[in-house]
Amino acid sequence: MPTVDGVLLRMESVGKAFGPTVAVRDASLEVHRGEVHALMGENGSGKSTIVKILSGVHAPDRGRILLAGRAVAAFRTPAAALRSGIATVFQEVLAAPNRTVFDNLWLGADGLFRIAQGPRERRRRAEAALAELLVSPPPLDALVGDLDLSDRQACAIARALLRDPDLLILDEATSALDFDTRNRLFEIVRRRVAAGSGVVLITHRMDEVREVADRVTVLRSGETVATLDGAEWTTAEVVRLMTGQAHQLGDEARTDRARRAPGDVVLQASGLRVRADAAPLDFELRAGEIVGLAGLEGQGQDAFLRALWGLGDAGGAVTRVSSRGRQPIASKHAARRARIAYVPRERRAESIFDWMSILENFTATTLRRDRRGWLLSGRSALRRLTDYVERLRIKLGRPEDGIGTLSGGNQQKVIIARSLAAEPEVLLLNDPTRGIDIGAKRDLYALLEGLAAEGLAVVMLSTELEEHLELMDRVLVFRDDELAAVFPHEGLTREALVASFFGAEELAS
Amino acid sequence: MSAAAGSPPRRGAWRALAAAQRRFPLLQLVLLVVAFVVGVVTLPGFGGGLSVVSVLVIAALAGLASIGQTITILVGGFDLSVAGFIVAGALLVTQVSEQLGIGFWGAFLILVPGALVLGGLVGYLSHRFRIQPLILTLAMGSFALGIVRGPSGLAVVGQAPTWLTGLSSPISTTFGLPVPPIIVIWVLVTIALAVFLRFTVGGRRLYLTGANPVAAEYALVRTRRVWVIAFAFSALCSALAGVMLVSFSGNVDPNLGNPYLFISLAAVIVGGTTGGGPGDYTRTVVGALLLTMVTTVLVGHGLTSADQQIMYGAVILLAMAIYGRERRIRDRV
Repeated sequence: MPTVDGVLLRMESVGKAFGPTVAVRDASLEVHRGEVHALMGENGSGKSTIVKILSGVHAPDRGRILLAGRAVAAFRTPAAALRSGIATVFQEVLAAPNRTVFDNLWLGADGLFRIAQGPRERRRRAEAALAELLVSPPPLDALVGDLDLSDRQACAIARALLRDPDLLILDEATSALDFDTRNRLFEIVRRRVAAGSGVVLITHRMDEVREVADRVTVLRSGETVATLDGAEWTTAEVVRLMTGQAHQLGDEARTDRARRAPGDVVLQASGLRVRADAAPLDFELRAGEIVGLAGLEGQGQDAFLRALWGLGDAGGAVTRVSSRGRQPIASKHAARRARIAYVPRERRAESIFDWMSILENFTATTLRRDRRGWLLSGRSALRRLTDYVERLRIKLGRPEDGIGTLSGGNQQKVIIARSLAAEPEVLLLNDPTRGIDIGAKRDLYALLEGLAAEGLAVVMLSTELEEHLELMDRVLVFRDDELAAVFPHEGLTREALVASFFGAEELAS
Repeated sequence: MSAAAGSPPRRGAWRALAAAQRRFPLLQLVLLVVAFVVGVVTLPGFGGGLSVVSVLVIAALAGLASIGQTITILVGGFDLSVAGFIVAGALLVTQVSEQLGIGFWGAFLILVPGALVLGGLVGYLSHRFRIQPLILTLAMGSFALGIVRGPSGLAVVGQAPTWLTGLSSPISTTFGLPVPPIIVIWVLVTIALAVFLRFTVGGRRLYLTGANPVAAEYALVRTRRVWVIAFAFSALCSALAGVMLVSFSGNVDPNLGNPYLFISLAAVIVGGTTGGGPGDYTRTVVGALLLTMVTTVLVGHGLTSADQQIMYGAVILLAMAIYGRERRIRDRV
């Protein structure tokens, strides 16, 4: 597909909303033939949505997409995007674990009744593609589920390369690769762009961008902020563009509570690994402290938080320290006995009992407290809920109404009340403010600060920078399933935080 | 997100009815009364005391055979071992007890732990290895039947002890009440289950597990334990229903349980209980009464057993269409 201006892909003012949530507001992107184009932005800036639009997973609400000069209304399906010459390798390694390497490499290449090439030709090409990427490629008949993470990721990449796409999109596809494979991939990428195709690279590693990208487009809150040429950009400038101004909480939300000296150690993690082959980390949590977990999506902070609740399975020990002595936390039930509560991440999938009442949702973990003899006392449950309705400012009709009658923010408050009802001394929150309105967020901040002042220790994973800047006493940044940086509250800036997400700590100081 | 915002504007009375229907099987009760009135008007003697008691006895059998189905559907499963355990239970207390010379209560002492273990095993396996309970229960039902038929040899004909037949004979009485014991048993079981499901920790955990198994685990409900107990209880209920069936029909044959698989499914579904809730056993009771009443009236008008099967199938389809639709729509908004 020769084009006059050398533009392979042009996205103009593309927008996409999911219900009331605007994921992409106004994004433009231009990828030339013969270039590696990096797409950068912090969590929620719209990177993933753009990739999903380009690969046919989502249809954009508005805007134009031109591929090699021809307008594409929208890719209806991932297969349609693939036929147009766009192949994507996603962050989550997508593979059929119970099929062989060979099957996975050619997955989706056939029509229902049509097979493109003969099996021998296919085996040859599959072997060649793997040999190009890996020093010691796995046998084609090995099951993908038996491979290690790096090799599985390499298979996903080889699968995309076999399609010989005009445009290759690597969405955090390099993070799972070992060093050799990554270098070989970049060799292939350079060769491909030299031959006239285009590559879009999304990575959390600034050094990779520096190494291989020709141009960088920066996104912020679903908008394209700038496109920079490889020759002229600096890390500091990209970080500044990614962070922009504080815009979500507004000045009136700034609390700057009086920070007190934290109390005794209540929770210890030693030699804790988030992934079996990642570096171990030590962590101490003190009473009255609010600790933030930060990083780009999927860098290990989620697994770390779950490990603190006894759901870790990659090695290391978590110990609860209290006046009752030292208790090892090896399961969520042990965590509950040690007064550690956890609020899951996905409200709808992991927290809500959708047809049940507000009251029944509230009492789910603390049913025994309402037991009078053999039977549950509704009055006891109601009395307990009333306490939290006031403290959390939950807006509800009647407690007997369905949980579905509440707004997302109020549902989340009920879920947090459910955890607090067990009277925890350590509270673990997995991104509790995601997708809730600003008023509910503020209520939650006030609540957490109040509880911390009473001595509750809080660990909170958050994808919002402002929360880390304002609420947390300490922020732990995760990268590649390892602890990358720890910031105290004093002097923490957006720039330092975001720079550390991308492995540019030199900017942090 | 709210149901009111998503639905088109309706008249006040209509909406109130719909809301009532969600909480209470109103429509089913109305149909029950209609079916009864039609029976009284068109069939001579249908409204008589003995006739009504007979209908109640048949409904009680259907209702008792549907307890396990109700519980397993509420935890988000299904139980297709109903027929197998019914016949196994029936054979055990008649033929097997006779052959082994252990008497009714000796057989009963084998039946209770046996059913609990086999049912519990199904619950454990399907939860642990994420196997569809549909397949496992079907397999376990025929497994249980096979074990019991082993010692009884080829000729499968069992006779009920005479005192047992008194339990469900329409002309027998209970402590002076003019109804057979099986009806009193059904009423007591219904009350006990209603209280259990609504007002105990165990009942609530059962609902939590059905409503959202993932969230239940995060809420520290041991869902595997719930699943094991639910299926063990279900198998026990089916086996006991088999004993009741023996008392009703007086003898046993291997096809005794067959109709009850569909009857139990139909009773639960017609009552308005959906997979994983909401629902409860009182709804199944209403479902069993409605189904029995309608079938009896239709049989009075010459309905054959083949027609009955068609009717059960159609009823299940229809009810699924109505309730399945409502639930999904509310969930997706």
